[in-house]
Amino acid sequence: MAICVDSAAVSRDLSKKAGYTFPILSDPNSAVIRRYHLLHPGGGPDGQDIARPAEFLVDRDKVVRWTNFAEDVRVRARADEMLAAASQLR
Amino acid sequence: MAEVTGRNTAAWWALLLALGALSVNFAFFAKPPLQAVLPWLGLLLAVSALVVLSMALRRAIVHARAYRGQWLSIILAVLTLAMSGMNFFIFFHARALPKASNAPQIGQQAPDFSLADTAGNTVSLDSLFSSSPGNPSSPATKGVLLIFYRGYW
Repeated sequence: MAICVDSAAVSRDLSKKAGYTFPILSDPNSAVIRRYHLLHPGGGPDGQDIARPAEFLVDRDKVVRWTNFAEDVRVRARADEMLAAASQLR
Repeated sequence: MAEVTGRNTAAWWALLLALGALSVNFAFFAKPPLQAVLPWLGLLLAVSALVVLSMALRRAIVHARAYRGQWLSIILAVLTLAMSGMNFFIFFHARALPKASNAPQIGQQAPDFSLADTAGNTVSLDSLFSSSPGNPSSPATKGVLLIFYRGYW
């Protein structure tokens, strides 16, 4: 489940080009991004507010079980790290 | 008067180090397991390029009579400076991210949300855990991975 400020049309384009099968949610007013305290004011290419990169693994009780907050936009969580965290869930 | 002793190879080494620093940025696309050290490797290479560059410029300007190719050295120096500068810019720009210290941490409750997916369906954290009505045989969802990303551009 991915969340960003892009419109549905932009995310549809991304999913199609990259072949993504997971859902992408649009948060155009960054309401949820703010609720998660992940706003990067003026961080977008045209100076718009966007989300800073972050990943959370949430269990059935809606408790956060694993997080990753990038310190460098070039260094993102790898798929194997996320899958390893997910495999720890009961 | 000093004799010409050789080429100013330091100018080439500086250029090579600066090129190496820039090329590190392409290594991120491969997402290697040691990707976390790559920003520092790039920075180290760019700083080394400047150190070797200062050596090369000393040879080209102060000890000009001892080395051939003074102008070539200066052209290489400009290129090295430009590439190192670009690498410093990328390094600081890529890390200019706000802290996430107020974001939900391990053990804390994940805030609920309700957002539209690309098909226009509203998706909430609760709805992701509730069993899919059309397929009661599907196993219960154990977890949800939330990926906040900057966007597509």
